[in-house]
Amino acid sequence: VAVMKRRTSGEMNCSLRGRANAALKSFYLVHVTAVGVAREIIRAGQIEARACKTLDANLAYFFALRPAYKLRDSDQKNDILDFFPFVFLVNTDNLGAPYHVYPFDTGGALEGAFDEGASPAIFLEDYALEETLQAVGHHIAWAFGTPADYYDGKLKSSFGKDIPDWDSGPKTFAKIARLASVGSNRPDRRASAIEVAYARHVPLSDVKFAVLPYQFLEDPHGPNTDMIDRLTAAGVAWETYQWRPNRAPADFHSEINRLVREHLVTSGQL
Amino acid sequence: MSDAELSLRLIGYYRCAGHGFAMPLYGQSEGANTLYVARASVSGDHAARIVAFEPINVEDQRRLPPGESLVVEVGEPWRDVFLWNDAAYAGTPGQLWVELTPLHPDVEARAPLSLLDLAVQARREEVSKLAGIAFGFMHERFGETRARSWRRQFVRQQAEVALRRALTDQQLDDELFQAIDLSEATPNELTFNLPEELASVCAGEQVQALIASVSQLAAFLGASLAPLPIEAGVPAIVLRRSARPAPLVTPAATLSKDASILIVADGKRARDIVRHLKSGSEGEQDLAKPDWEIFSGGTADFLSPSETRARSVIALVLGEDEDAPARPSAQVEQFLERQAAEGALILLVPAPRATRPSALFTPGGGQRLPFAHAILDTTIARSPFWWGNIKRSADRRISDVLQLAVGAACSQVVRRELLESRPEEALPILSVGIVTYPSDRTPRKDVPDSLLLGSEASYVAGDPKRSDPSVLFSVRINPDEVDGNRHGTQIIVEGRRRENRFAEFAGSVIAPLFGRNNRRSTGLRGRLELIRDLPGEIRETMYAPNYVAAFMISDDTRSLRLAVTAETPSLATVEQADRLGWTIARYTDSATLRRLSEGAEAATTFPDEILMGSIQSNEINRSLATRGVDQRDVVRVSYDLLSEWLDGVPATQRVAARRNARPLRSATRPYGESESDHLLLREYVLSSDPAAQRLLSLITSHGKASPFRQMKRSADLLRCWTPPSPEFRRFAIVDGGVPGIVLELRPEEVPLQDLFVIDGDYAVPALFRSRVFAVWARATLPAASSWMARFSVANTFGGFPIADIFRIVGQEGSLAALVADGGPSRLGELAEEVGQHIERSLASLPSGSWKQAHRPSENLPAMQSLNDLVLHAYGLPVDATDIQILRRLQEMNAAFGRGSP
Repeated sequence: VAVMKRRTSGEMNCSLRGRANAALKSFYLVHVTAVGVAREIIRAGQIEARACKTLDANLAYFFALRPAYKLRDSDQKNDILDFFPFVFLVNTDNLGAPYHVYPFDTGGALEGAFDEGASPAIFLEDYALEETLQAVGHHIAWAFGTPADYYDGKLKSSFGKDIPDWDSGPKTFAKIARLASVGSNRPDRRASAIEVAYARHVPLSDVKFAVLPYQFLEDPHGPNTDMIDRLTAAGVAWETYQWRPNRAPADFHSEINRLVREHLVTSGQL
Repeated sequence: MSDAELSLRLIGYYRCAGHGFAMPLYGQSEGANTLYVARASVSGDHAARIVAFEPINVEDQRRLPPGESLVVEVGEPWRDVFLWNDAAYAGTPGQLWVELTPLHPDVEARAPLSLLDLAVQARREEVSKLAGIAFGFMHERFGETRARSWRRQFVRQQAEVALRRALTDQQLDDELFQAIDLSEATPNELTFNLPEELASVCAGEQVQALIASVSQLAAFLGASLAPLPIEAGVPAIVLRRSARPAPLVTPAATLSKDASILIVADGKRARDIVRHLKSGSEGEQDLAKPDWEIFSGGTADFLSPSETRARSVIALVLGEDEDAPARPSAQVEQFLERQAAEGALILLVPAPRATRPSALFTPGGGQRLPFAHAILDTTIARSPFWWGNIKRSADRRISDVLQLAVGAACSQVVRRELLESRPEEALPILSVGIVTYPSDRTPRKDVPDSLLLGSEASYVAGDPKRSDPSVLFSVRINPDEVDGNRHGTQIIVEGRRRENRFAEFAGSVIAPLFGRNNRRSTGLRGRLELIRDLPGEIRETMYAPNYVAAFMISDDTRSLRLAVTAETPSLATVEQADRLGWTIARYTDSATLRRLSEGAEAATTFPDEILMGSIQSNEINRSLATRGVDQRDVVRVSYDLLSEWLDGVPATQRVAARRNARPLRSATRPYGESESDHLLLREYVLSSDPAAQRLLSLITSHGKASPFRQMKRSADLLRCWTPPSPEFRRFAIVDGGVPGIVLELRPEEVPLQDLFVIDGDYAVPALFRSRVFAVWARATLPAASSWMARFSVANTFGGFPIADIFRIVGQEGSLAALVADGGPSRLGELAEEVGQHIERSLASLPSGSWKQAHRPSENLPAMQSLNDLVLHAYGLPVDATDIQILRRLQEMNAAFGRGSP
């Protein structure tokens, strides 16, 4: 049973809110999914909000800037998503206010992925940030400093040291976020990836960039039917990664990270 | 990783796109629900080996068609699945390249990147041409920038794999390889940006050679690759890979980091065994055992004078081949003496012949090898008290023993026992084994704890063992305490005096069968007495006369004098024993021992395991029988699909089309059923005939793989497909069935591989249903405990002498036919009568017991007369015993060699 639980009574104590102020800067949201689902997204022309059991709402999940992704469950089995990721970068200009913003992956948190840092006295809801896109900028400024450091999972070197012990919300958050940092024994990038959820479908026209396996460069079944043509038609720029059946997922994930990073740098977000 | 996850079947795949490489999925069986992915020893390298299987959640998986799954073990080369035109092809990249050859032009036109990828992984020279085509495709479709970007990634990936492969033994951190970058500041000029730590270790020639092959690939793609930036001077501090679980089941136990192990295989038998340790690759260091060195092809390398490294354990595997010298060469002995002086523990590992005990275990044998510290008991592998997986072959079992022993020999306790407190008098036997905790689910025989480690070479009865003077030491090593992965097991290591306790061992093997406590048996059960006086005449015929135990088993009414041997008895031994009223059987021959315990008539028959010596195989006799077709060589369609196809063929062509489909016959079905599956030749299905093309599209739409496979046995296919001359009938003999089961095939019927085809007249059922053939077939069946019995064309048919009343005649096509020639006219009538009797039994018995119906009792008058006629034709009396029949057949067979068949 995970250490972090949902609050069942009492008022939520959103102690992470308003910790810093930063000018709103446009940024991309990242949606990582398996190739099979991506095919459906492109066919349907939207990233669909799906029923989320834990939060009891139809939600489309994203992470701010980072190609991290949620795993369905944290059992011993690998997930196919590990092996066949497909990445969408979404422009936030037309999206409006999100349904919620959390400083880490809520699914991972409730499954105990961050138990090493969590405290049983602080409930999931207590970590919630403001339901605005600005909240992402504020949070990055508070914990990481710059978007580039956030992308790489580098917390500010002094982060957490000046938080007094009685300020338990931020204190435990600092412990959780360190699980994602470079020096951690089990770096889990989901531990400090800012989760942004929308209670609506997100149209493909807001997707600006995609990363997909190189196999889609070819289409033996004839032109105009395949993914790349549909992406191009929707105005989505794209890059491919070298998928191979025997490549360890971590290897092409680092390749994807690099491709996304390059794109974010080019578009001035990092 | 459990033992079961070391060997799985490739049963399906997850596809990313509808073509090219897909991700292979593995399972325990074709319908398995739990799926696994394989992990390669080098990430991204298709020439790497599989080091583990890991479970995976997959919803949208596809399965290979039934019967096409492949068994793949940890340690074997990586297998790929390649998709094309909705068919999945599985195999190594090299095999796939060959298999897809007819499709290359099509793939090249529609998916040039995938074909290039396949060619690169299969290391084909066609890469030079395909690289240009692929780059051209990218350029044309997506423009210059994208084409260059794709090229950069492709080359970068190949470079990463090359570096990973070259630096395997350095155990560098994955992040270093992930950080390799390739830039293209000037168009068509690629430059490496390596992390500092990586650059410092890239100076080796091997690395440079590998990178040279990548720059060749870059050149084919129209770019130049600058050489690696090598940093001279002191290497920087290198990030090492963090500790990972060992990928193979190794008894890593107390193997200290600097332990180095050398395994030397001397002789062919030894190489056969050691091969399983290294999983087939010559020279290539197995990732899993970085500290193991294995020499099996000649011994020159480690004997070179420059080789002065001291080892901690050396295992000398001595193959006891036909012509093997009694001891290793003087050079090897000097090397071992030198190493022993420097503190190496030296194990002698006999690789005994399958049919006889090893000479090394006899007290006094191996005495002249003073440098050795112990002889490993490898005969535990064929003992009924074998502790390992009973499904493994004998050679694999011996390699398991060796692997366990070498691991155990690294333990300080075992080393101290063998090196320091070694008794003066003689070389001890080292027995190793595994005891399991209840959680372990590997299939093993029930072995009472006190009998563990009992074999023909070394046996200690009684509990507790410590009071037995044979036991020098006995230790249990708990691998859980260290980071071994045999969870739920303990390794037992015992040092024992070399003593011949075979009689006690044999007694404990047969006691469960004949002892009073065996309540299941209804046969002979009673007093089991070990007697000392086995007649010298029997011993004289044996190879190891000291390794035989004589028993008198008696109950109130009967008694049996049974001699249990350690060697496979020869026909001469069996005859001599029979003459003196003894029954003989090897201790491994469980089928015969069980038959005897069930009260079968012991005398006059021979044991299943009998040493036949070399069997002369006659070319003419061999041409008589052909194994049925390999299913992979033909296209098999169900009756429903056949009907669906024919319904769609225009009426005028239907008859012609129908003629191409032939009903199949297999030994798994009672008799030919008109609604059974049908077979078609691949040439037809792939031809341009419109009806055939319709069929092909039907087959593909039903999800069957399209029939592009390498032919397995095309000659057999041709013979089975060609009908016999009109004057002959065609029969099929069920593989492994003793007495022979002869089926008459209907016209057009094509038999599968569990049948052998023989053409001819009534002579075929008369001869192959006879006792004479049954005796021969049983004597020549391989003593396979782990696999089904199988006839072979060379031994069962090619070696079977044909009596004069039969004659082999040639036919059009190369299949010969058997006809009766000059025998008594009654033979045909009797064969017919037996055939009719079988037909009647078939009708009266449930279809599941059809094989039983095909074996008429010898008491059936027609069958009895038939047997008498055949025996007479072989010059044997009608009351000849099985042993007499076998002796006569062996003499006739030996005459083949002298040119008078």
